Amino acid sequence: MNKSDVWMVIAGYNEEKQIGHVIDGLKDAGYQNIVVTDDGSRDKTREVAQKHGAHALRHVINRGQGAALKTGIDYALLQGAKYIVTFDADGQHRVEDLPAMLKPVVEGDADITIGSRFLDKKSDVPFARKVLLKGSVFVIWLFYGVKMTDAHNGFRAFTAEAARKMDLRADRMEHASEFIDEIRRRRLRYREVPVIIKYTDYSKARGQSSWNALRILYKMILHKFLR
Amino acid sequence: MQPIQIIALVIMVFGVLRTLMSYRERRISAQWLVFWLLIWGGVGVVAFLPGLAAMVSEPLGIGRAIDLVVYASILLLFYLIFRIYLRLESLEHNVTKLVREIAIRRK
Repeated sequence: MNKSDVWMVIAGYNEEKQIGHVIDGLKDAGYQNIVVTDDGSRDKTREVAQKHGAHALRHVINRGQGAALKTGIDYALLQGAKYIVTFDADGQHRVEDLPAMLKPVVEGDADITIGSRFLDKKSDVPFARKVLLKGSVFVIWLFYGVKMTDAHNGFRAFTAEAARKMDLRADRMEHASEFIDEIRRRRLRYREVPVIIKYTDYSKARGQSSWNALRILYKMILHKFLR
Repeated sequence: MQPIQIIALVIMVFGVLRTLMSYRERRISAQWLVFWLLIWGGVGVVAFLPGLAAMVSEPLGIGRAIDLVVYASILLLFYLIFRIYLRLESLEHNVTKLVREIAIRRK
């Protein structure tokens, strides 16, 4: 696999503290194509990303993580990306998991891989988070008939062709379930890959509040019936 | 005239005037002009021609005409809110598209 065919897409909202480390980690591992969408941050996310050598885009107003990722994906496609990886800005995802995530996609065994923190037991998932994530796995199964072990993992790798097929319209956090829905609708071949999610104090503070899950569920119901 | 009829009359006159003004300023289409005039007309019928209103409500098994109005109003409100919701969603989506286009062009 040629690492220059891979584009890393990162959405950052007020992530000036971590984004530099994340970019450096990817560059050190040989992934040079990194696009960061600064989603209308009030801090210097964009400047930091640019300084560390990423392609830095900026949303003039905050549109949500789903929208920011889609902007990065569109940009990567324009730059001729063959493979696209969505990666978190807060350092939750490990660069070491990238080869395993990319392998099935590059070798043509899958159109998209999704990271799962539950396939092996190495991630130290906080209990409340575990309950919530498992609940959403059930909801995903109920809504879309897709059986996953981890429904809301932002670590994904996919081909440019799959990226063009998926119609990603969800602006905010419900984009994670929208990915699953689009995989089903476009009949993409997917595979879950065990990854380790690093729960640091920083990422926990930055992560989704449990209440937001209710909002996501509400959005999912609306989209289910309105599309 | 009952007090409620006076209130209904005031609301009706205000509603009709607002509707006509909005149409003249081209803020609503002819379709919506007709729709709103029908609504205000309905208010007038219920307030001033209760016999006519009862002719509609009784065959439906609704004893009092005013109940029919309440039921119909709730349904109508739901429908209008739903329309506004759809409109908002498409507005939001369009805003995102613009923001995305600006982000990519300015790169």
